[in-house]
Amino acid sequence: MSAIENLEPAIQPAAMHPLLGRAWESTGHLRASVAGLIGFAIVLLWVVVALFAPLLERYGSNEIVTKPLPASWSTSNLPSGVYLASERLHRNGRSVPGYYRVNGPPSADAWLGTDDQGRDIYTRLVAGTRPVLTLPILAVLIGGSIGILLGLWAGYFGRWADEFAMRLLDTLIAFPTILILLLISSSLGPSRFTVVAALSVGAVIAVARITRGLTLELRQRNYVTAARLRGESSLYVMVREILPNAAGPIVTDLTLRVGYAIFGLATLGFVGLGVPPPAPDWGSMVSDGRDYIISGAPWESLFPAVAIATLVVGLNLLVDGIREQRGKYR
Amino acid sequence: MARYLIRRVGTTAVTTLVLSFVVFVLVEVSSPVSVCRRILGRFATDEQVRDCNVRLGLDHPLWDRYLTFLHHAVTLNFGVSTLLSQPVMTAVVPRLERTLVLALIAFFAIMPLGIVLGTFAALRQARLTDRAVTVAGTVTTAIPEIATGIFLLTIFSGELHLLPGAVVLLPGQSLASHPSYFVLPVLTLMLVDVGYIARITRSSMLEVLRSNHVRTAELKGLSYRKVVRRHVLRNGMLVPVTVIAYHVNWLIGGVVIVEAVFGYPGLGQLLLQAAYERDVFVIEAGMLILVVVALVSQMLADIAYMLLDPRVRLT
Repeated sequence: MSAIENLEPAIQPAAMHPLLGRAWESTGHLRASVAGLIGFAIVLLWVVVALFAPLLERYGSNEIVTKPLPASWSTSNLPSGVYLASERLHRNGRSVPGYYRVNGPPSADAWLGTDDQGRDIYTRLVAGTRPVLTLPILAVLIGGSIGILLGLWAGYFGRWADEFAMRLLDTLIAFPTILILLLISSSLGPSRFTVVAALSVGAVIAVARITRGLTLELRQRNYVTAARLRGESSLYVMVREILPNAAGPIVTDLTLRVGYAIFGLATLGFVGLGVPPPAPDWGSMVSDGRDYIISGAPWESLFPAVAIATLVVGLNLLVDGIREQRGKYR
Repeated sequence: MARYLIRRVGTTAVTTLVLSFVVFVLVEVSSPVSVCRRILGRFATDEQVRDCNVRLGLDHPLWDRYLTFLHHAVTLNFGVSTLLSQPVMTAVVPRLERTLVLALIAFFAIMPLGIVLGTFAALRQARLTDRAVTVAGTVTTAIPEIATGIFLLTIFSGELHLLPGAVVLLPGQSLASHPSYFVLPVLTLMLVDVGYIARITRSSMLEVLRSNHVRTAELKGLSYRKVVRRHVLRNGMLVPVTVIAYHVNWLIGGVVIVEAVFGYPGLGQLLLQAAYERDVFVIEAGMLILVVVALVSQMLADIAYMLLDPRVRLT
């Protein structure tokens, strides 16, 4: 495996700050891949939406889109899917009855339609970008850190440490990931904390394996021997000599893990074991709207499903782009 | 060879044991709220909870309960479901059958197609077919089942009204009399998994195509067709076979989700229902059964790999 290779020395503009130069250099692989760039653009789009979510939202995320009742409609005979609002609206200093529409099609008032409770799907979709990005990233950071430590430890010390860790991981990998997620979520009860805990378990297993593989390879290098002979502690050798040289592939893998964690979060939300309602969660939205697809109102399900699909595909294209350019297409 | 078989069966048994412990701990121990409290809810009195503990045997020490659980597993008698008030196995067995049917149909739809597409792409490397297969595979594989399922539902049930959107079985009806119920679930699983299998096959074939023995065969003057048939295909299949084995895990996970998307009355749906209703014995039984299915299929695939590749037999 030629996983560890040095980036070819790129032309570094002299005026650039060294750190900026390194960041630019490390995007070199990506800049050469069209698919990678498309993936990067998609992911960037969602990140921007998440950053500016409060500005983009048109209503409250649990607000029912209510409009004043037209005079031509009689309150006793409303069109199907239209209901009288429980509170009256105030227009021009007068109090008027309001109505809302459930599973309404896209319109000027609700760009992507309204959901089964009459809330604005567009607003909930935008508000949902925050949990869908932060929770998986948090889970991967937590799970990834544990996985890196475990992998370094197993790969560096070898022998029984390695044997033990690998047996454990091989055993856990035999467990379908979604079942682990279901078990943890159902036993701890649904909450943000549970979701992050469940998602990070998946990351630990995968990251520990890849880190161990890299460590086994790097352990043989001369600079590691040199550091050891210099009398550096094992911890120093692992963290300062091995880890920086394994960082490239590990970071790539972590990015991929974020994609899997989003996959997991959406699925947990869909089966009702994710972020508890009424928080705007893409997976729950897909599941809440599912039954209305057949009756011709796919909006509540369809748009979050498209959002999930684009985000996950974007991340995968991004990672593929990086890998392909590195020449380790797997 | 016999030694290899014995060792492989042994590791499968040990792994099953470890995972049964993981399931036991996650279901009965790790929760901050006791099992009976979860079943009875917040408003039950402590007295009621204590009664329930005694009734379900939860007042025994942990190791005792784990041994009982193992005993249950071995005798295939997982106790009585608190939700359905019938023996767990009576509820689980018909569901398991349906899940296995769905998984098998999907498996035999996915594998040949994935392998053919992957081989095709490898033999036409970097041409348009290859590009198309690779990119389409990456995209469809990345999309979660819940999204793919919703897209298919919207198109085929919502817009075209061609296929049923959910499985509705009247008592006494069997799934076999409604083949249309299988179409969308299997199609969803295919879209998610075919790309992955194709990708694995493609990269494995490419590696073989670049290897020395293929070059030798070419230089020896064998026709391209013969090289591909005799040298590339057989060697190129080795990696896909192992990967497919480990892929059964993924397929099982996928089936559980697809069941939820399409309301397919299989084991996955029963498990989800049990998870909401805190029907601990059903969760334990269902999880353990799915784990055993995953492990045994991996074992069988490892053995198949050994039969395909004589080099493994020697070690």
